[in-house]
Amino acid sequence: MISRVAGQGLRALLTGDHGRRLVIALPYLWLLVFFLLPFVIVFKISFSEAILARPPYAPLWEYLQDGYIQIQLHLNSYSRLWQDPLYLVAYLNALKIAAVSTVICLLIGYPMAYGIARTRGSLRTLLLMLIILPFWTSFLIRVYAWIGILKSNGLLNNFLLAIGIIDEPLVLLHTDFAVYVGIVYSYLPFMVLPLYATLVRMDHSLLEAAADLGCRPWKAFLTVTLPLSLPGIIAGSMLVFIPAVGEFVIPDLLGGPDTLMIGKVLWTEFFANRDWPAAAAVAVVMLVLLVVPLALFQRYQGKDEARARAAL
Amino acid sequence: MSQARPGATSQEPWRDPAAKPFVRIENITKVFDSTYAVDNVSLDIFQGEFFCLLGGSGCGKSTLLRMLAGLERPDSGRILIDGTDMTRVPPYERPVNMMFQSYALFPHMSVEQNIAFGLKQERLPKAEVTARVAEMLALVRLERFAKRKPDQLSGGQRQRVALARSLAKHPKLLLLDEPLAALDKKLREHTQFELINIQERVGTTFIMVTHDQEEAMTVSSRMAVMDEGRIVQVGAPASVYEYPANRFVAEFIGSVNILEGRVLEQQGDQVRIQADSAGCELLMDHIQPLPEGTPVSVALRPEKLQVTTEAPTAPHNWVKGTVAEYAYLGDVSIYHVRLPGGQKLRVQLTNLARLTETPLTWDQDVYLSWQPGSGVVFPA
Repeated sequence: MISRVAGQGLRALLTGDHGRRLVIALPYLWLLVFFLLPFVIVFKISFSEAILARPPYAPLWEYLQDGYIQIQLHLNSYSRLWQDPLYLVAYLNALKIAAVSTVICLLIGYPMAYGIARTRGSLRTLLLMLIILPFWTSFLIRVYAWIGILKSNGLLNNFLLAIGIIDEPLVLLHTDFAVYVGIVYSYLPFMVLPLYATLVRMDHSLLEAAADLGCRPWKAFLTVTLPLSLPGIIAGSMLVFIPAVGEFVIPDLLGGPDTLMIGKVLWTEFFANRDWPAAAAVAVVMLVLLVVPLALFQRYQGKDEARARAAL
Repeated sequence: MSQARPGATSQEPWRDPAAKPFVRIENITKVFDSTYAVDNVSLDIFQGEFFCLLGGSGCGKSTLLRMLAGLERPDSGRILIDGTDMTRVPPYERPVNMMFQSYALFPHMSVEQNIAFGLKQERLPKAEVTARVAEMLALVRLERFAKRKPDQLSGGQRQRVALARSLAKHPKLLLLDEPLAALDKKLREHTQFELINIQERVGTTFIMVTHDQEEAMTVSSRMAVMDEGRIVQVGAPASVYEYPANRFVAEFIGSVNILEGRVLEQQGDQVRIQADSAGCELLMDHIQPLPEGTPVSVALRPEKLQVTTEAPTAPHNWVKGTVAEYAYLGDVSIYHVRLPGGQKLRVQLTNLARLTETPLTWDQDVYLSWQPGSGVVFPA
């Protein structure tokens, strides 16, 4: 009897409004506990003072004997980000490398996505599989493989020497070039897939209509295809740009000592210098740098949609 | 439905052997995956015509239209528009515009940007583009909606934007691919007459593809009935309806009763036929002499049959049956009359007076009769 009542209760919980809330609430709870909460902790640490202790930062507040709470907010970590040009250079360099990589991914990925969207049947499935195939191997192993290709007696140099294009090996590994190769290679699928998703949905008769109205193919691409694939371009660019800014593994393995990216700085602060507040401040500023433009973009899009609805 | 439209049919250029066709399709063939989508089609269309390509799905009508637009390349044959060979000319260089079945409106552009799109390709001065867009908006009565995006319009409004966009460049020839298929019945009928009006005002030659025979008959000056990639019959709606070239056309255009029989004898311009399954003798108009014993089909339109409750005195052209089905549709009533042999004939009677009580009921014996000129005889 009791179990039947419980069963009914569960069913009532999982259907209708309750069910919908539960389905939404669980993932959000997960994000709250494992993303927002850690971020709050990082945010808190960024205002502490680094000390030689375990954990290596001073507590933010202390209980004094007479019932008062003493709060100490240190802004040193943040002011140091301003004062030491190293951080600024690292941020700008990371933004530059991420931006250039995003543009290269877009230039390579757009024709790929367009081509795949235009093929039919089983060939399209095969081409999509080939895009996803690299994910079946560990990311780290694929980056290591690039070391084998780019090093001075690696595959690429040996090949170029053998066919006689060069007389001595090129310095490819541990340069910015290698970092670009690594990032573009690793993130290309994240550009191709959203682009493919928008291009494949595009009605082919729109291009026929453009041609019928006297528009040459190249101009039809610029005036019809490109604007209509903008959502895919934006989604793909974000999926490449955002993780590329904070990338650590690729510049660490493929980049040189002078390849300064903010991910590497963060690692150094955290592990080498054991300056947790500084590392936390670096992370907070990076997040702000990425979130603010995103939020602005979202608001702009929301306004655009609202305007469209108002026009009705 | 309507065929005597002044202006369109009073000239009837296709009757004049000296008239120069505006669109000439010569032996066009298009093969898709080894099936003939369009099979050796030749057709002349004249300036100012509203021409319909009519047929079921897969008959090749849309492929033919797309070849006129340049969206498909014919495998053989030639297409001449206004005397110029257009067979290999890409779509963006043809003086032809098309209205697509899906309308194919650019979703990221407003109504006026959609209409201006073709004009901008010609690099017309801005003032002229604006004037032409205003003219087109007025033509399709969409002035108030100029700033809207296509997804903020109803289906009927989108259809009008598509029409305005395809007319904006003042094409020599307008192609319409099932332009009304997405509209509901009332709106479709209304829009058919609007299309006729617009065509008469702009004077452009229209070629329209449709699967709806009523639509084709409403709008067209002439129509071509297509089947399996070939043109079966070309003619004005009335002549196609009244004189179908073969049984396929007779059955495709409107509804028809087919009586099977064989020729007894040719009597001048008429032929005497024994219809065994119907159990009656027919005397039908038929000029081409048919030898005795030829198996034939006689096509009789439902509205051309008369119903009486007493036996006619004539020796032929009537048959006895019983009412099997009966449907009252308001303007007309439809009866299915079962003949002794089991075949059912469809009869349509116009309800001239207000109907209070059905004049005929189920299982009632009736006599169906017809005139020698109200049917068509085909050698089977």
